[in-house]
Amino acid sequence: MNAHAIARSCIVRAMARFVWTALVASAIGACGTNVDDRSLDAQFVTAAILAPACGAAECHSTFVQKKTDVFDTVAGMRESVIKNGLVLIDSLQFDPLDPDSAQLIVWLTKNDPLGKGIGRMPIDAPMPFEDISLLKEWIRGVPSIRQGTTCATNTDCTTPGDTCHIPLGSTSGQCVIYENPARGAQCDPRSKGLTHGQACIYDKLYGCGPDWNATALIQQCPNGCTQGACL
Amino acid sequence: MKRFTFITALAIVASFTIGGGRALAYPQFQLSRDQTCTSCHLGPEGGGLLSENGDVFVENNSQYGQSAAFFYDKFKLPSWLTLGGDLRAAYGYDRTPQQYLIGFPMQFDLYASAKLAKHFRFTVTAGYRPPEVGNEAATYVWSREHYLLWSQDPDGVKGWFVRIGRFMPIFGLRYAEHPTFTRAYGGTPLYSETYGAAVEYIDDKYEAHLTGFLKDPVIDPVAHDNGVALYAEWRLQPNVSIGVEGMATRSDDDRKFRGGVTAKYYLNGPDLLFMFEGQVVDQRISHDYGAELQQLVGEVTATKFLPMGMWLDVGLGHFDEDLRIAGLDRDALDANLHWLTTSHFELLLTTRLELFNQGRTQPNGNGPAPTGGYALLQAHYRL
Repeated sequence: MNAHAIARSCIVRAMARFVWTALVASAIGACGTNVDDRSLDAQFVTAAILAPACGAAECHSTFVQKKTDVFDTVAGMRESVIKNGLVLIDSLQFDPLDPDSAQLIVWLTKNDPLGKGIGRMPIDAPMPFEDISLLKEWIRGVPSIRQGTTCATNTDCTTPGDTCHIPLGSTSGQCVIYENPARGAQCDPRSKGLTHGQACIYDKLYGCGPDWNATALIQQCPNGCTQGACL
Repeated sequence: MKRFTFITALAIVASFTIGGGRALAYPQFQLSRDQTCTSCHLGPEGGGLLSENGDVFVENNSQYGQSAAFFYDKFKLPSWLTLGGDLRAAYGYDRTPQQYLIGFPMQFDLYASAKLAKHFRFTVTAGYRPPEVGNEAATYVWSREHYLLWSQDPDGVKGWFVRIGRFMPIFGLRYAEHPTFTRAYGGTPLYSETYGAAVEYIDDKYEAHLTGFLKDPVIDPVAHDNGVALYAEWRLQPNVSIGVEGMATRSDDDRKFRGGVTAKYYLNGPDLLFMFEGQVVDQRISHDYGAELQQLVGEVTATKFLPMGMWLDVGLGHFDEDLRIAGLDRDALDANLHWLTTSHFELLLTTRLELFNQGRTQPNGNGPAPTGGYALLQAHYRL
């Protein structure tokens, strides 16, 4: 066998080892359970999903703050989501009832969502649907909706503790409940004696946003509210 | 077509999203061409300014070799001063899964290194950075690195090194391409240089780097951690090395513990190099660090050196963001063709195909996973 043939055979053997190693590494990483029971609090969602996917240096990091959104810290995420309306929790638009309509999700799922050539995010690598689903759950987390329970007033909600949420401009809504302490019992407007559709955020930074950890940050707005301000 | 062009134009305006960054040394050259990074670079991390030996290497290994010194050696610098710079820009196709044609500047860095005394050297890297929104006037220019280096060897090639200042903690194989998973998710993402101190040892057989670092107190930083990193490499034979890596970090939001191994194997006959880096990450998140997840990050690369100053990297990257949950693993098949046309100008075609869950349907009725990828032509000019 001449030197050229030996070299070629060596390359083939080496490439075979490389491919085997790669396949084994991939297979190991492809395990896991289908039950997605990951935590739904703001710290987890930020550190595990938003920071690595959206908070890269040149994008929505504290370093660059593209479009004034920051996703690489919990404090930055809170401020961005609330100040920039990425998840709306007020009486004009209540995203927990329809997480697909939350701007945060729209940016992650629609191509060119604003029709201005600014594309689907993240722009440097796709995000797995599992993570998008978890973000929707996180948005939906407070309140949890009683499926199939339409209502006109709170008295229509027969399950103890339920509240009737009626979007502004509508005459009917759905019964909702804040049933999971991890999902926001501390932010339950009922504890303030408020009707949910009339509660809003007055503290833009640490308000009753999607981190659901705030207390005593809800005020009553008799005419409804939007983006943290009473109408 | 018209719509695609419109999106293209806007995408160019909205550039920097894939981002650029400082070229670290090419780890492909270690073992295949020399035993240590310091054979060719002034810094113990490799990357940045080249030594005289590095200049000779570039001259001999580019297709049209010419003087590789600063500005083709047209300016005679004092012997204690070394200057240089890197300019990079890229243009090409990107899919995430929306498709774009994008072009963007990547890097404009100037380097200066002054030998202050027999064993001391001060090095500064300054240049353009993507500005911070709302604070643009103060953030177009910055100094990514500035550090004081003491080296046992006056030439700074082997022996003990001590550094203090702003630099990237040495960790792992240190790929130049920052989208490599072991960099992006492996503890050394783009622009994560920070203040710290390092004690390092390098010789032909061994090298070890221990770095303690802090969250940058001066700017709004990329890395929000304080921590410590250790990387050690043992060259079993001139063509084989193995390494271990460990990093512990703590931020306001989480704690991370990283542990991993590296390996390199060079085949002299076919001029082929294999590199591997694998890392397990344990992340504690949330109130009192109650939530916990484990991640897997890995990269296998084969580099074939070609004639005319070219080399081809084929790599497979793997990142599983939560080992416990199915469908969150991603794989990237990378193929990068480098061409050192002259001692100062490099062309690089960099391509990637990225799949989730190995391209299968994602669990929980989420349907086929999105795919990503890019094909970018990058131009790199060395001053």
